[in-house]
Amino acid sequence: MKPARFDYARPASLDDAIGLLGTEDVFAKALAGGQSLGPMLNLRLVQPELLVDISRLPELAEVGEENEGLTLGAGITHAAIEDRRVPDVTAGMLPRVAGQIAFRAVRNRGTLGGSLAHGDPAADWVTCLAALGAEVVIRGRAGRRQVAVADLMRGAFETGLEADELLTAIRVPRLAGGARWGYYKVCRKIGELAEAVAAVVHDPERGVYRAVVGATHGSPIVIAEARDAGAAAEVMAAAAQGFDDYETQVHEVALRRAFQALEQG
Amino acid sequence: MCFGLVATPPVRYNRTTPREGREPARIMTEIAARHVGQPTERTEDLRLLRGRGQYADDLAVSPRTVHAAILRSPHAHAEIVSIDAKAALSLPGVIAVVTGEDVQALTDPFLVALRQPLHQWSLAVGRVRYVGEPVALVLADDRYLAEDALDLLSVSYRELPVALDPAEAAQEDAPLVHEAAGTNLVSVRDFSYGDPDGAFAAADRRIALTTRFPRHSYMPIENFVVVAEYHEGDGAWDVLANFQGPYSTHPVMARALRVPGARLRLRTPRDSGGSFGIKLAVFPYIVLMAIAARMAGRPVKWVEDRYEHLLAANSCPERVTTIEAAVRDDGTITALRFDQLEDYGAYLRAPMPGPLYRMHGAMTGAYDIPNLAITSKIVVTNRMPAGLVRGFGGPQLYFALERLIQRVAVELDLDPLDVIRKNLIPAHAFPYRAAAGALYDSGDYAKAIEIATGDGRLDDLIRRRDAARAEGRLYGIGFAAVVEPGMSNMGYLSTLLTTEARERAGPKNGAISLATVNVDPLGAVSVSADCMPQGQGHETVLAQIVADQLGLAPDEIAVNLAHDTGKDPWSIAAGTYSCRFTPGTAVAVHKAARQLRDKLARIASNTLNLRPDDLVFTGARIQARDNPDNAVAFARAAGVAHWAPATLPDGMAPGLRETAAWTPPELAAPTEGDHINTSLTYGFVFDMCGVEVDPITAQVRIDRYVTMHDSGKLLNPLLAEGQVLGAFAQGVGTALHEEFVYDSEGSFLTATFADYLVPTVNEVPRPEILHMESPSPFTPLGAKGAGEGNCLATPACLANAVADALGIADPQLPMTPKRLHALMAARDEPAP
Repeated sequence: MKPARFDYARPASLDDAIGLLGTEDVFAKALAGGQSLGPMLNLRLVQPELLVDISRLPELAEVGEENEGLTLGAGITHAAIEDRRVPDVTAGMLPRVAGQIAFRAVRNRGTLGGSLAHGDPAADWVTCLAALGAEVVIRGRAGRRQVAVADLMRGAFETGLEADELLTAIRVPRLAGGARWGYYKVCRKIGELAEAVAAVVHDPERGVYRAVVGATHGSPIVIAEARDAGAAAEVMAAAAQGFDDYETQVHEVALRRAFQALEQG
Repeated sequence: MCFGLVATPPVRYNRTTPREGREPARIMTEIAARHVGQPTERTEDLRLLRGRGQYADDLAVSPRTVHAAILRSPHAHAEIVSIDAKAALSLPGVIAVVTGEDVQALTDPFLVALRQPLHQWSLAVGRVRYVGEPVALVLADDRYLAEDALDLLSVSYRELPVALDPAEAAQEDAPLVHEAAGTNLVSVRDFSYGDPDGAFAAADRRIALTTRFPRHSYMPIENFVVVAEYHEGDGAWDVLANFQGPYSTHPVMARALRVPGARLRLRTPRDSGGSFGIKLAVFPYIVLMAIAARMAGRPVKWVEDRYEHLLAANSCPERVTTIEAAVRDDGTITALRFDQLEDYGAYLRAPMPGPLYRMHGAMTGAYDIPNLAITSKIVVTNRMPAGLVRGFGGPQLYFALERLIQRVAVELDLDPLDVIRKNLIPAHAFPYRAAAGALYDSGDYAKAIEIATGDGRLDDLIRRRDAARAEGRLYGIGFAAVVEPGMSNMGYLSTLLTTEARERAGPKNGAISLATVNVDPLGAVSVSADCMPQGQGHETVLAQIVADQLGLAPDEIAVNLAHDTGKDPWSIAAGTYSCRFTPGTAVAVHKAARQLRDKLARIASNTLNLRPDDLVFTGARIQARDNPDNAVAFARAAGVAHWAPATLPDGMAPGLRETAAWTPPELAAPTEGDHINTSLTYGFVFDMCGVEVDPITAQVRIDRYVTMHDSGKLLNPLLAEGQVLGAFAQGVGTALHEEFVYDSEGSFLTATFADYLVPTVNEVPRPEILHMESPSPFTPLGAKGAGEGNCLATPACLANAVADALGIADPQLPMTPKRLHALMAARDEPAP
């Protein structure tokens, strides 16, 4: 369980990192917290020629709070969010979800951007941030673009990121007063990847009532007009692919319990 | 408390042996136990909790050491057509590639307990028989290079049909795992005790069920480590490995290496990162690395990684048990019939098939059941070879037996607790000879249950259940009553053989423990012994025992249990497994310390002009019992044996180093009638719990768990509690989470911790632990084994509670949400 040989670079700036990632004919991977990539390297499931260490890039640690929302650098760790070392505009949803990710040791190292870029269907951020209507900021040699988190994943462990692109920041809209949210995940044990996960955000002032079901076999299922648990479950059932009876049931229960959590505030 | 003495064999059913009013023969009472019995904190923790432990991988190795990586089979069953190592060998830094041809030329196959041609070497020879089987070994300057070279090895296989499911593999037309054996069903033995046929014929009811105990293992944090070096001049090996015993495997390794035992020096480090039985299974790798070191002419180091560990290190055997009870309408069980089919995987590694026979004498559990029939069958399959896992045959037995008790209650519409109580061995019957030969040393099972259910504990469970059910929730109560064996009879495995075969092979019995206590010229005391602690706290307990004998404080006793077969005492039973420390090694240390004490008392009696019997050892002094001022310092008396041997009492040997051996006479060989006292001590565990099953997610929540233990005299209650907590956590794992899963091709699906779930502190509630003490009359310290009880009881207890909650007859382990969901769905479907 030792990785194959690779080169390692720790660029000083975001531009240098993007340049290195785009090196012709070199299979390069960005390394942030390493909580998924590390084990994959050790198991030789991925064998990059070059690892570009972005964990200390100052640009990825930036935090900006505006009226309309919050911009979090992609390098911010789950633990920083859990500990409220960054501002919150989501009525406590981000810190609560952050605190339920894996184990504290993972949260100390793992990053927001790393989790999204990895594209694991069971990851908490994919579901939570999609429900919040967050967007990711992507920088590459071709420039800068923004993509809704809900549209980032193309399938299990597949995102729309190009080889030379880095996910640099996440923009989270500010919930209005009176907004409520619910989050629920089914795990066989704490810290394990979820068997089913669901998030609901209801923000009447902004006209948002969105539910998202994660831990699917691919991208999360987004229910834009959620209204209530029953209706949302019907949408989910129609959209779900490849679920067996048990999976259908646990995803539905995650969804219903997320609605319940929302109701109970 | 006092206990009767039991007649030595002939073995017979002994339910009515009255307690005799004699003092137990070997409890020594004259030493005041100041430290033994105290909840002394573990002295080991100072280093272990601060990251200062010295584990096998931490110890320095020669700078000439090369590193090994193992290529493993991707197929469950295939012929090895060819191995091409050219590309691997041409990689800079690669030193050698070892294949099955090399091990076949340089070693002999491992000895097998069964007379069957199930040849196994340390690498696959000609054929692979399970996914993960070692096929080739690469030696390189470092582990990274060695793994690079693995990718360059080219092996050509011809795939063969597989035998995976134990019952299917046992069929006549199944693909053969070992063609030379001509069958996968390599052993079938029938046993009968009392009159089972008569009892079944006379029974009001016959109640049966079939259980499947799944494959799993318990996970040490530290995996296998071997460092092997060959000394050309001596023709001998020096191996460091985190082996845990039993050392009956040492001759197996030496024979494979074709050397006398003295030329295989095996050293184990002071600290081990957990074992739970698993580190017996490092032994084939010891032989493999030894051969590699000899071929390379350099020391070889191998550290197993987690992927390898899950894939191929160790598994408990899967057991399919059909158990049937002959029952009276009032719930009295008059006979049991077992049909056990146990899957040992691709090879029968020493000391397999231990799990099938370790409990043999005690198959009737905590119950007074005179008639018993057992059929024990061994099947080989294309899966990882089975080995030691904490509980070792006990969990398999009790999952069947205690599930049956619950079924008897359901079928007869009785309270399960009443069925348990009705059949318990009565307190007056101890020492009690069980139907198949186990000699239960002491206990009062009814009283233990009374204590556990008392103080409102059972009432509270019933109240919780009734309240939950009134709200339509799924809540159940489970019980399990379990006899916990301690210190195995080294002869139990020969029960596997017929009487004639046993006679040919010569008798096997007993279980020898050895320990040495030394006092140096300044009076400092040190201890070495034949155990391999894995976190239990052996150093702490041994210091307590020796301190009591010598009138010193525990922190004045230096205990270092790093072991070296070249220098330290050991025999075949050495090791830390099957709860042998407390009834075994601890007793040997106690005896060695006592021998020293006797010697020092004679020395001091010369100085003080008193009889040795009039002396007491206390406060680092040896003094007159009735005049504390008439005393000599412990160190001074000790010094005499070193500095002034000419002044020693007549006939006394100089020096102060005593090695004691201990083997109890109760551990006799199997009788002609196949009665066998499988262990020396028999503790008692009674578990009781309430669980709730989520009707939608099908997850099991343990609401309240009570566990009652009688482990005889507790040498250190704090350490006993640690054993209970650890075994309970693993029992929860077995019940709810852990299983090795293979697909229909024999591929292994649980090779990472994302797929193989080990419960953590979040999933394991803290049980309420209760104790009572019925000292064993068969050990000088009165203590019994205490390390496995909840591994035996907890899976059965939780399964009984889930069965009660859901009204189902067949809760399968582990009770995962997916499994329970399917069972609940089937239950909800209307009858056709």
